[in-house]
Amino acid sequence: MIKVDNLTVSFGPVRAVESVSLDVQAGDIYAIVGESGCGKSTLAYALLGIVPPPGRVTAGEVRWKGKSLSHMSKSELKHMRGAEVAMVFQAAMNAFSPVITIGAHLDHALEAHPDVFPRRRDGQEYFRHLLELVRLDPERTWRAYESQLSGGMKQRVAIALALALKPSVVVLDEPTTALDVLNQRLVIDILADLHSSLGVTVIFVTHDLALVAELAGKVAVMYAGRLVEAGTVDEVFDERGRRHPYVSALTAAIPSVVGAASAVRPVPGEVPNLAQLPPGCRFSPRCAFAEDICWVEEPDLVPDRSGHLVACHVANRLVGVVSEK
Amino acid sequence: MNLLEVDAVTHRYRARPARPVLEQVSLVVRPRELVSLVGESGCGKTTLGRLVAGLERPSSGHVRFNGRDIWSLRGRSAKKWRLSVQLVHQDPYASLNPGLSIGSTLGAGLVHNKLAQRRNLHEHLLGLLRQVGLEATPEFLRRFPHQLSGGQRQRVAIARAISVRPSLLVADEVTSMLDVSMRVAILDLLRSFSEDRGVASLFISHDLGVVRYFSRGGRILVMFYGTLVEQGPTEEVVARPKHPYTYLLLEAVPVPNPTLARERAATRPPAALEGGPASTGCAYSNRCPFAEARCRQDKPPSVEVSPGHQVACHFPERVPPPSTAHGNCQSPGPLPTGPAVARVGFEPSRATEPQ
Amino acid sequence: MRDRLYGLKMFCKDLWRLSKHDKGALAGGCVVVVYCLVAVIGPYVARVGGVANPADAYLPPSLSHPLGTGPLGQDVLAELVVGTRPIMEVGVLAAVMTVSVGVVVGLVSGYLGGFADSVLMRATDVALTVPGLALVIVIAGVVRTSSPVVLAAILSVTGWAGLARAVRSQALSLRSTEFVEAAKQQALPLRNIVGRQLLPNVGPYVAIHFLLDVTGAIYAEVALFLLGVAPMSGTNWGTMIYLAMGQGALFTTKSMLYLFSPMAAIVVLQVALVFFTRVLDAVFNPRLRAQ
Repeated sequence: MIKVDNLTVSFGPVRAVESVSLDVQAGDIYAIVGESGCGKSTLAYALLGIVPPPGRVTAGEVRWKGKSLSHMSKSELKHMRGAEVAMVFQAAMNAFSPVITIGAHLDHALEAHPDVFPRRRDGQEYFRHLLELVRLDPERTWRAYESQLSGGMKQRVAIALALALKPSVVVLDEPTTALDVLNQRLVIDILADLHSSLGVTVIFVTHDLALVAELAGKVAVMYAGRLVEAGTVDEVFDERGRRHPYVSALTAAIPSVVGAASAVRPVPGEVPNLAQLPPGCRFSPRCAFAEDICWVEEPDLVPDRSGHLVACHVANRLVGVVSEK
Repeated sequence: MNLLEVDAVTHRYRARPARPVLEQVSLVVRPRELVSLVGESGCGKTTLGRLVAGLERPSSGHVRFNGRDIWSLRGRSAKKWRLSVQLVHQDPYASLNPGLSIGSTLGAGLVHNKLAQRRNLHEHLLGLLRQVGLEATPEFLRRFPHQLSGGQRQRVAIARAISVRPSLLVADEVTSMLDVSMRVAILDLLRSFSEDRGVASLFISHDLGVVRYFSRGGRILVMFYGTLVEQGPTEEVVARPKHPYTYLLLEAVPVPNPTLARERAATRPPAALEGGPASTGCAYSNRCPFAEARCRQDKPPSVEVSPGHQVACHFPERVPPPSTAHGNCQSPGPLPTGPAVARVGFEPSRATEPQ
Repeated sequence: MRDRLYGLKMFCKDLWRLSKHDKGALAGGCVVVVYCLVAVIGPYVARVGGVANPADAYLPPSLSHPLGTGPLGQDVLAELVVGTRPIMEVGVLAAVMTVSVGVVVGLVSGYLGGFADSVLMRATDVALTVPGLALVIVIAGVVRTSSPVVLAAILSVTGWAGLARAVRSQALSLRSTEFVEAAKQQALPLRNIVGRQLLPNVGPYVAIHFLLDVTGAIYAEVALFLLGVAPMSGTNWGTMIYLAMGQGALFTTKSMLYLFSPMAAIVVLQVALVFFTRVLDAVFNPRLRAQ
């Protein structure tokens, strides 16, 4: 459905996203994971073609159902955003206007895309159904103002609003950050339900590996603008399989209620400044397994038989997967 | 003597006098102890933290520090207490004055409290930066908050708090706004203060994973809408919770393990994930899958189920072992089938409850 | 101390850098600087007074009188230049007084609340409801003074109230911010909280208000001179207009230059000040200052 082909998005001389390729099929729940500043939000915006200036796509392209976004007309793009690919932005709970009701927010969305629901009332009814699916009282929520709802509720309303125009894909940027644990659980369950009952393709961007483990089917891991690993969620979380050291380090850095608490280790070092990248593998300064080649040559993404991609000299060598060079 | 005593504190906001934010809450923190306070958002834990730090005065009850009620202190002893308890806020973007450089922010407390002379202030500040793991350079001191990342700002806030040599740190959701990979470093930093400087910590969070890591060797207090429902040694409470709410929290928290996540999804208890407290009887009775008529009528007493481990529940024995114990994917045992168990899935929430 | 100088240096550097981007602000700033220079050195350069020669009244512009002459044969340009200092002196003084009182009242009232707040706000209400200019005219008429300080004080008798209100609301919202709470936790004294925590955050508003107060004070001042209520000794733009009115300047077109010159001088200064305020907002915001 959405194919990203060797995409590079630059902000002046800095490449926030570099040579990223991924393929989202219909019905996937796709997670894009990374720390702050790795380019994942920029990538999410690029999927809808809304990278904010001064950012620009400087190489590669994003294709929606085969058609490149750069070749689409303004009206095609406008139709695509909202009615076919919807986005729930980061901290969506802050995106509500305090002076109008939730129902009014929906009306604005319906007005912007009159072709989706020619009769306003159908759109409103569908939205009420969506509110039930996100486990909110439809009547009360419809009439409520944003100040009357909690942060968790607003996040769910934002998800309902995104789905109100029946998009086939919904992109969520950090859907559970700023929510407490029980609200996170609610959102995870709701997204899983929505995926199965509405058949919508879900793409979400996050730094929270627990969210990924609970919800995602496929995972793409980004570091400093590049894709370092991509595969199914089981492949990426398999401690005994081929993995990028960043992913191992990240998993070990999460304090959790499972596993030994004393085994948690912080990831050493800091995310590199994109304007001053180290030569060779970008993760090498923080990597426990770095070898000589890592400091010199940037590793390519190498697939194994099932399509699991890892960009790491050491990991690929150890498991005997060699890049075609 | 206990460092901190919260004695039967009840607190209401003037705007909503009907429902108290905290109800008859009592707790104790000993010197050098690591104590965590965990609960969902809106449960009153932040308010409790602020009362402990003396930023607000409880409507009734007492907050005692080293045996003395903090609101009865005057003059020099009041000032001494003021520096002994420091609260670090959740939002690293709001807790630093945007118009002041880092050096000014950190230096103010030191200079005004005569903890450093002007001539060695610079050295002292660099030392402070080093202690919290920031780059100890004069250039860094000249930076402004908007030039730092969230994690760096949080470290500056922590540096400011420990610069006045407190005996108790209250950390209010200090890691919630940070990247998951940054949290451990901050938690380790806070823990190190207990060992190196003898500082006790009251760590407030909604995230059980973080809380378990932080207060290992210490204690956990579980709060539900103004009431402490369970407290005890960290590992004990996490491995053998005896309150249905703690059990729910453990079962609901997302874990970074897809296999375990799938298994838990099948056996998660049918407890409501949101909704305010009940007005009669046990506060949790309207959301509890094990609740019975008695729960809705009588407030449960606090019982000691094992040394140091207390629970406020009528039927603590009903709580099964959680699936997260010892990291094993063990199923949690048969679910209760009493008359009070709601249908599987979600309970209708009391929507539009403002936070 | 070194830190303060460094801060000042950075402030000026940023001011310059931001002005370069905003042509209007730059132009305004330059004009204001010119006026200040004229105010300072003017009286040493130009000469007025001397014998009045009505025969030379309202001469057209020439090399020796670039702006022509006034009703008594005096050089208009000379009068303009000499007249700059008294006007600006009083204007700036009045603005300083207005702003000082307004900020202190606002910050103390907003931060402390309670009884102090009630008392100060009632005083502010009175100052706001009394018609400012009328009161100023009356007081000036009664207290016949030639001291610029007293005149400035009269001009600022009600002007501080609006600023006090605005600063108070800022202080109210700032006092519950987390960094102010943190300052309280560090047992910082009141003067630090008001001075270091609150004041820099109301800085931009205050600075802009200051410049606008200067324009307001100048208008009020000129009005006083125009109405003959302020002392008529000395030469300044206000007395020029007053004299012109008194000498029948409205009845002949030859006096146009004499009449308009002081007015133009006033208007150009006001516009320059207003233009300059555009860059002040940016320079007080640290976010916009660095890189």
